[in-house]
Amino acid sequence: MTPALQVAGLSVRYGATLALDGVALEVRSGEVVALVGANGAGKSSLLNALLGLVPHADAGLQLHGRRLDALATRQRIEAGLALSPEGRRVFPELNVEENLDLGDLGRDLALRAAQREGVYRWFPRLRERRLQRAGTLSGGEQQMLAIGRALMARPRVLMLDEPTLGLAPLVVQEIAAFVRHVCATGVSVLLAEQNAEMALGAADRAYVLQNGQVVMHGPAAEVAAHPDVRAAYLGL
Amino acid sequence: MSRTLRDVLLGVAAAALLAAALTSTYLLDVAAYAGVLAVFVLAVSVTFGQLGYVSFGHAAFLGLGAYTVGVLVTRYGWNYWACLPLGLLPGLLLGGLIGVVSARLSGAYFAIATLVVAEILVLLVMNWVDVTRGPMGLMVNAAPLPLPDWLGWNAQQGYLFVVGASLAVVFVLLRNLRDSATGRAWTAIREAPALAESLGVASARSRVLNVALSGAVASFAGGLLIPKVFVLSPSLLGVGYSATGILGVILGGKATLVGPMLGGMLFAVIPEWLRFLGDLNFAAFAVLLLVVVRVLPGGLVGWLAARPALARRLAARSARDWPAPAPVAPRTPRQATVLELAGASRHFKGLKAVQDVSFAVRAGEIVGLIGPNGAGKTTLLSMLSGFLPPSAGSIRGFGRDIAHQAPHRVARLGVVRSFQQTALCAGQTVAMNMAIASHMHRPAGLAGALLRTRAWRERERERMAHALGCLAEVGLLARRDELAANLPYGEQKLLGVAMALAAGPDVLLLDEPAAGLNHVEATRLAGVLSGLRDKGFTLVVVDHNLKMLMALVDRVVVLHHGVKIADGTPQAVARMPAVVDAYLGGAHAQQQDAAEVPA
Repeated sequence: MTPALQVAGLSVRYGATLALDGVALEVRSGEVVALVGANGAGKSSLLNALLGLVPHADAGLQLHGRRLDALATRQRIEAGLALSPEGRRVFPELNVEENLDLGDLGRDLALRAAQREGVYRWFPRLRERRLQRAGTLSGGEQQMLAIGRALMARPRVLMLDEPTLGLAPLVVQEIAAFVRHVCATGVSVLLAEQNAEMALGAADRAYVLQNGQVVMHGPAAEVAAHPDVRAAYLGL
Repeated sequence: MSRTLRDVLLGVAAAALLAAALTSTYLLDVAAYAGVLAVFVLAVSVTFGQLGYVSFGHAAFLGLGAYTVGVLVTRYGWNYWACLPLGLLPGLLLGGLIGVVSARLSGAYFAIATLVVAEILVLLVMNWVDVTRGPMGLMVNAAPLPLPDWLGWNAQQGYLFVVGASLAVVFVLLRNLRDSATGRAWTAIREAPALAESLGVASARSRVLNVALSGAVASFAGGLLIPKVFVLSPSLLGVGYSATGILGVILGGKATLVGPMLGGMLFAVIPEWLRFLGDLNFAAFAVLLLVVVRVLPGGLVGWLAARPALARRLAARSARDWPAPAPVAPRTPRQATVLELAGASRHFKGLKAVQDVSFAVRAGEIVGLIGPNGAGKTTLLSMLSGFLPPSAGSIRGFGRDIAHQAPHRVARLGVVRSFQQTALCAGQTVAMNMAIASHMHRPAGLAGALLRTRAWRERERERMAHALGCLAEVGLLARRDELAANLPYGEQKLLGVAMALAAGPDVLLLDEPAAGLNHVEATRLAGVLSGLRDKGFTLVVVDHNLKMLMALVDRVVVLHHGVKIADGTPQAVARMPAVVDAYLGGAHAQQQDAAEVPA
């Protein structure tokens, strides 16, 4: 079976610095894959490059067998890739519903409404705050909104960049539960997290990034049990 | 010889050489006009490029300076060259006035305010016929510069020499200012206004100073323009020159001083080059400008500086010999209780973000402030740092009422905050951010900065050593030459902590310093923070990383829906049922128990 997302060798350069150095990874259908690494290891660069926000050389990107390298960001999203960016970047002046609608590239209003309903089923709190300005939401609600907005594009691979950043422990548990459950609907998740404990707990498999290279990968439980990972990322 | 004196002398010598070398009347005329426009565009760049405020009315300063000098010469018969320096004053006063009046305006509103001022002055000049001769124009006969006979220069050569020498002086002084605390404060106001206030920059005052100085230079350029135009007309104050100023800055490169100087010169020179096109030359110039703005967003100098060869050389020069980092000096507590909240509340319309919260922070302790997202933690920090006045209740810092003080005053009192959403000058290097943050460390006078006196340079070195010491404290010293925007999120947060530290506080209020750090990095941060406590700093820390926080703090205050629901040692608070329900959740409580077994 073809994997949902396949990357043969992705390199990204910012001027003289090599942010990603031939990263290869794959995400299978309905799988949660965690990206673990220190600050500056290249996790965000990887997600941004996959979506085409950062220019990169031909990296052999395939989404369900379809080549992505030559596509612009919008076309990659249409192909089934979506990103919830780091730092809950919602549009503070727009309300919840308007923020969600921005995530939908299609023009079918009925489908859009149905999709919104789908997001509200995941995050009932967003339904309650439907007409509230996004800037007035709490941090946890803003994060849910950012994830919901990515879901509006009907992704086959959902990329989450630091979804638990600055969130209270209770909300972290909610987000982790969402990640565990959303993959049951056939959506694969690529999860970049500083909170390695949460990420490795929620993921099926994991990749460890260090200075722009994959230094380890395997089943999440094995990665979590590795002494180097325990020392470097889990602080055990 | 100091850099200031050397560069001024070089500039004056270049002006003399140019004046001696040119003999054609036409070339002398164009060169002098280019010099005057360069001075004017430099003036505009002080407000537009450095402070980041667009002014559509800088021609008002230009015209005011020209008319002031013109009236002194024609009505009172003063010598033109003696009046010329006086041309500074009207711009200085008007600039200060505009700065004060527009204190609450920003962005488009500031631009419109300056435009309105300029238009009012046009009407004034137009109608005050007794003095200005209104639309007929004021003819000003500037006597030639008194020159020794042996030089053999004509009047035009003397004029060009004065213009060139003035340009050199203006350029060097503005460069000195940009490289001083004053200029760095403008950068901070431009890139991150809230951050500037939090670091103790009196933004309102700093802005008035900026507009006043910019006005003074523009108005000086007006006086300098007289021998070139000969007849002063109200159109001098019109939008034409204001647009020239803005476009000159954009053409040359906003972020620099060489750029605006070059841009101003090109505004005199290019239309002359395009003369072969006949009447179309100004249209062609406009098209050229559009192309430049489209193709070179950083302006000519921005584009040049980005060329690899030049970029390497510039980088080599900027990696100058930094002073050795000075270790962060210990604090001696001034009082037993540093912060005191009594019944503090903050309401946003109907929402009660913080309700009736009271607690005190003792000198030398670390207080953790926790609670669910939206519980009012950041609101509370904003109230403690002067960013939000409380709706009710009192807040005292070091025994003084700080509830209704401006943030920079609270910072100067010794209470400095960091921000939850990273606030830094993204376009500047890490070292520059630290220099900006050390604004309050041994402040020096404006005169010293303008002339770069020996004492001033000494202080500047000391300030930089202090700033780098703070950077080293959080472990980011190796990153000093990188652009702040290029740091990963977690390091940006650490830089925020270092910047707050560089402001020289006794009390640090940190808003989620560990967000974006993994456990190991967070542990390192915890080490830094407890090191600061040992040096006598007092800390109030908001964070969701409880593993780090609970091990670090002496005391925890828990907020829920704006109400304080717990206050006590970490161990006691973690067991309170109300805290577990509202914040920690079941899983965490188990984790907490499990973690405590080995201990």
